[in-house]
Amino acid sequence: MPVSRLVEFMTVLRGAGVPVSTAETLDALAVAEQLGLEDRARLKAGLSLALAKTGEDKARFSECFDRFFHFSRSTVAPVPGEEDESLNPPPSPGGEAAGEGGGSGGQQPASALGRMLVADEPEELERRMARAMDDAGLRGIRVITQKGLYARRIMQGLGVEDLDGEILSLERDARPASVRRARMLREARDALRARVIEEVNRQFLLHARSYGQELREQAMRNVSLRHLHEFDDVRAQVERMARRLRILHSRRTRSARRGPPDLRRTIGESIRYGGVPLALRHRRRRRGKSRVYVVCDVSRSVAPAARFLLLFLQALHEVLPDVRIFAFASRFGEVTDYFRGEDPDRAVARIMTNFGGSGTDYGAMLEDFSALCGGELDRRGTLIVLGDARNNELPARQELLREMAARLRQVYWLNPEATNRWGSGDSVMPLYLPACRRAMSCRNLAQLERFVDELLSATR
Amino acid sequence: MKSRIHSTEEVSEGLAGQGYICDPEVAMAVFLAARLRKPVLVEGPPGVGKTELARAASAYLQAPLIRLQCYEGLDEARALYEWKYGKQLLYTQLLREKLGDLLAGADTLDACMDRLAGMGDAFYSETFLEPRPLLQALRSDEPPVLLIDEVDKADQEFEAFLLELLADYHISIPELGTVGAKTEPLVFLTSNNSRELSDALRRRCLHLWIPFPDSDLEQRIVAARVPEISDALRGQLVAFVQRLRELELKKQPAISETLDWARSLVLLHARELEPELVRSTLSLLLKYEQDLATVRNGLSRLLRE
Repeated sequence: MPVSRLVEFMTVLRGAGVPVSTAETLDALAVAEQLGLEDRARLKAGLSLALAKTGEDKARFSECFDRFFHFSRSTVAPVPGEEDESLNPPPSPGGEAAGEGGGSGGQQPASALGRMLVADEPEELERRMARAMDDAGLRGIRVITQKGLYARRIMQGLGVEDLDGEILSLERDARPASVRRARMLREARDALRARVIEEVNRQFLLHARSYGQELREQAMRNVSLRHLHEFDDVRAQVERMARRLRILHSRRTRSARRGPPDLRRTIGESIRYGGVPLALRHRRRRRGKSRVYVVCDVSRSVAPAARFLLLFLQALHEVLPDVRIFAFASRFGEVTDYFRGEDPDRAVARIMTNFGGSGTDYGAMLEDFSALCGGELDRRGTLIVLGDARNNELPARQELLREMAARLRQVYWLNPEATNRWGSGDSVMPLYLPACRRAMSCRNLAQLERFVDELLSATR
Repeated sequence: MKSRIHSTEEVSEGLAGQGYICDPEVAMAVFLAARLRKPVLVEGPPGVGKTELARAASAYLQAPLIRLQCYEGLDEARALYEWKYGKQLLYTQLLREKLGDLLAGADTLDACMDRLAGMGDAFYSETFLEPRPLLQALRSDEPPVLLIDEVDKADQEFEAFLLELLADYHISIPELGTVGAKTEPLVFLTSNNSRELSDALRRRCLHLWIPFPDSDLEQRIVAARVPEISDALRGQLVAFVQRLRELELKKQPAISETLDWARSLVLLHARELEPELVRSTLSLLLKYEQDLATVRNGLSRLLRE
C-alpha cells in the first residue's frame, strides 16, 4: 500500500467529519513508518492515536478505516476464499457441459470476459475490475443518481457487451448444451454485476460523503426554517453549529489578566519583605453572570423558528447557563422547566401543544412578562423576543418594551419575516424597533447562527 | 531513560512488570510516543488509570517523573518558573556594605549606574531562578516523563501557553530568552473532559482513549494489584462490578474503586460475595447516596445473575 493510498484515506476521513490537519497527516505517515503497513490491526490502532482526537472521532475513524481498506485488501493480497466461489459459477455445470456436449461443449467461451469468468482466476478478475473502476473514474462519484451510470461504465470496461452477445447467440442456438452454457454465463454475469454494484456503493459512501455532506449543510443553512424539518439530521447539524460557537465563546469568566492595582493586597504582602512593596498586586476583574430572557411566539407561523432557536439555546447551555424561556400564543407562561432533563425535541413539542394557538397579542405578552419578571430586570439581563409582531390590530404597548429596555442591558428582536415585510398589514414591528438594540430577520439556520454568535459576544 | 524500545509487546510486558496491565492500544500509545517524541493526551472516565499510566511508564522507562497538577488559576509562575524574591532581597541586604564599597569612588549618579551595569544582571540570573515543573522537565539531564495532570482544569490561557512546549519542547522566558529542552521529555496530559480542550492542543498530541476495562482485562488487573485474592472471589467481584457499570448510575465504579474493594474484601477474609458483606462494603464502590440506594434495592438480583 503506497503512501498516496494513506493520503487518500485522510481525505476520506475528512469527508466523514473527522478533522485531520496537515500536521496530523504527517504524524500519521510517521506512525505508519514506525509500524509498517502489513499488520492491519496494529496500523489501525496506531493511526487512530494520531488521527482521531475525540471519542466520536474514534468511532468514525474505525468505520472509515474498515470500509476504506476493505477493497484494497483483496487487491493487495488476494485471498481466494468465499468471494471467488460466489463470483465464479460453480464449476460443476461447466464441467457437465464439457462432458455432455462433447465437441461443442468443451469450447472456451468466445468473449474475453466469458473466458475469464469460467477460468478460475479471481486475481486476474480483481485486477481487471480495479482497472475498469479507475477507467470509469469511480472516485469522482458525487451524487446517488450516478451509481447506475458508473456501474454500467465499469461493466462496459470489463467487456460485458461481447459477453452479452455471446449469451444471446448461445440462447438462439437451441441445443441443450448451448442453453445450459448460456444460463451459466448469465448467472456468472449477474453475480459479477452484483459485485460491481456493491463496490460502486461503497465507493459512493466513501467519496461522495464529503461532497454530499457539504452540499447538505449548505442547503440546510439556507433553506427556510419552515421546511427544515424535511431534513432528518437537522438536529445533528444544529448541534454541530452550536458546538462550534461553544468552543469559540467558551466560558471565560476571568477577563483581562489584570485589573487596577490592589493596594490592600500589595501592602499586605509587602510585610513579607519588611515593608518593601516588592510585588505589585492587581485586582482581578470578574465578569458578572449575564441573564437571558427568551420570549417565543409559538403560534403556527413562528413555531419552526422558535423550535430551532430553543434547540440552539439548549445546546449552548454550557456557555449560557442562566436562560429563562417564556412561550406565548394562546396564553403566556414560563417554560424553562420543560427542558429540565428532557430531550429538547420532546420539550419543544410539549410547549407547542400547551401554548400553541393563534391570535397572538404582543401587547398582552409584554404586560404579562413585565408583571412576571419586571421586578428583577437589571443591567445584567438580555431580552430576546422571537415573533412576527403581527398583533391582530390590538394595542402594541411599545412603551412597555421601551421601559424594560431602559432597565435591561439590551433587547434583541428576531423576526421570521423578511425585513421588507415588517410593518405591512397588521405588523407592528416598526413600533418596537426603537427599543431594540438590534432586530434581525431569522429565516434560516445561517441567520440564526449569526444571531447566536452575536448574542454570545454581547452577553459577556 | 531506556534508550530503545523495539515493539509494543515489549512495552506491554514492561508496564505489566510495573503492575500496570493494559490493552495493546495503551502500549501502542506509549511505544509511539517514545519513538516519535510526541505528547500523549489521555482521556477517559475518572479512575481508569490515566495518571497511573504516566507513573508506570516512568518506572518502566527508568525516567524521573515530573508532575504538574493543573487547577483553575494556574499560571506560568507556578508551572514554569519564579524569581526567588526572598533570596534576592536577602542578598541585597547582606551585600549592602559590599555594594557601598564598590560604589565608593563614584561621585555622580551616572558613574554609579555605570558601575552597577558593569556588574551584570546579578539578581536576575540562574541563581535566583526557581524552576517549576515545566522548567525542571526541560532542564533535566536525562529525559524525564512529564505528567500534566487534569489539563482540562486549567484555564484556556494556560492551555495556549502549553502549545509552545508541546510542539517544540522549548519555552520563552522574557529575562533569559528561549529555553530549549536538554533532552526531550515524554509528555503525558490527562483530561476528564470537564471542559472541551481546544483543537490546537489535540492536534499536537497523540490521543489515547482509555475506556472501562472489559471483564477479562479487569480480572488481570485485580490479579496483578491484589494478588492475595482468591480466584473464585476475584471472578465474582469483577462480574459484579461489570454489572454495576451497566446500571444507570451517577458515577460508575472505576478500576481504582474495584481495587479498593478487592483489598478490603481480602482484609475482611471474605471467601465469596455474600449479600450482607456487599451491602456493608458497597460504599467503597459507589460514592453517591442516590447510587447506593439504587444498587441496594436491586442487590439480590444483581448478585444472583
